[in-house]
Amino acid sequence: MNDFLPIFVLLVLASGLVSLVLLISVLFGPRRRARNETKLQPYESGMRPIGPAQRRLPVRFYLIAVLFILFDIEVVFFFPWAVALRELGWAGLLSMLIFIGILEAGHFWLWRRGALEWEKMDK
Amino acid sequence: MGLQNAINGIPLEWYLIVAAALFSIGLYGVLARKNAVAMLMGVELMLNSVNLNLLAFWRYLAPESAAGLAFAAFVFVVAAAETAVGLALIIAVYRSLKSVDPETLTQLKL
Amino acid sequence: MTLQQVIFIILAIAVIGSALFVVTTSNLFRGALMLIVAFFGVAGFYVLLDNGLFAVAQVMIYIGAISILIIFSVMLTRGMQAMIPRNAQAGSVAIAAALLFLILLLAFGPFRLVVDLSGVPILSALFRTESARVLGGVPWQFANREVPETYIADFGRALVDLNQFLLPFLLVAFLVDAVLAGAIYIARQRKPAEVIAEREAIAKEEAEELAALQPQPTAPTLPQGAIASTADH
Repeated sequence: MNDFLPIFVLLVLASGLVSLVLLISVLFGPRRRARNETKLQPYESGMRPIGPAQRRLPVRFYLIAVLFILFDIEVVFFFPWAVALRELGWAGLLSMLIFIGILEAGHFWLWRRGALEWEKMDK
Repeated sequence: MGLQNAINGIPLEWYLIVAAALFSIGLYGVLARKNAVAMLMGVELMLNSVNLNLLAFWRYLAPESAAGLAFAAFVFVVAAAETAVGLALIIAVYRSLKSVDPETLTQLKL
Repeated sequence: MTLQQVIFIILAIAVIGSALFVVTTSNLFRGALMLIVAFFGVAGFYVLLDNGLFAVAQVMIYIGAISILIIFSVMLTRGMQAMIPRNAQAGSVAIAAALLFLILLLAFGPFRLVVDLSGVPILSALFRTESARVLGGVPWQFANREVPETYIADFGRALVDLNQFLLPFLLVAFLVDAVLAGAIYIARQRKPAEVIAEREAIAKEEAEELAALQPQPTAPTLPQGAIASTADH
């Protein structure tokens, strides 16, 4: 628990610094109200926005994110296993190889089916 | 009872209260939202509260046992699985109906 | 009040507050970002429970994977930025959720309400054991021990031990396989026409939103001395 105290201190410092900077800019910054619509545009230089910032994405991004979960879960289970690896010996290695084998089988199946292809779906 | 069983100065009941509040908020999110993704967020909150309870009981009642940790780890995996499939279904529904309101899913009604 | 108690209360306020924001906001994108705050607070609770491993796992799986999926799906569907926040039965659901919280509070909170069911005819038969019959009176068997230094290695050993959790561990791999195949099969467009249709739909939506963003053709009246060259470049 005490190992995490620096992280907590860091969090407090980071959020404190950010709120301090924001507070200072509110207190001392110029507070002229925008009087015209040009002032309210995203780019005051006159550049017109070419699209909304929070745009709708194609579904392909979601498929890649789902694949990421596979490796994420693998890593979370790897860690405690790796800590105990020396005492586990060959039996531990074998069980983990079976685990990886099952996951990689799914991964390779998706690969063969073309789930990782980005451009193929465009044709 | 009380502080004699406290770990890091915190009694077990505090965790149970926070988990109960989180569970109730998640339940409200699941039942009262009009958007399927928002309902899924409520489910995530409920799963988190359950996991918090599991790990709190592990710490206070059986810190040597790996069973509490294993259950919590499997809840993690099942939560990730549930989110992935649930969101895939929502995306598929959105594609055909152009809506994520669960009340528009009435195709199976006679 | 010790430092840990202060940290706990800060975390509890952050978690409950962001969770309340998540279930009430009408901007789902912001809701997804606040969900990350709630997940992070729960990771903080795991640290307070002397379980660094699960705090890191919480950050990796919930914040790293699940939140990303939720944010993606918010961005994949349109009209989530402004939606109707609640449905028709929200009021009664709120009362039910508050009642549930009250019951849990009375059953497990510090002011446990002890209800003796042994006199009640049907319920006393339903709850067989003596401890279950007294609702809220269940005494926890506190261990009052420190977490062993080797808890991560113990957990790793239990995971690949045939007599403990090897089978569920391998079943998890199958579950993840099935989920990946299923999620990708369901969410994927199979026909090239669907991909083109989606692309055209997105382009159309963006054109509409862009038209809404542009200033009106009747040029705004610039005050005297304002930068005149901002009009069209």
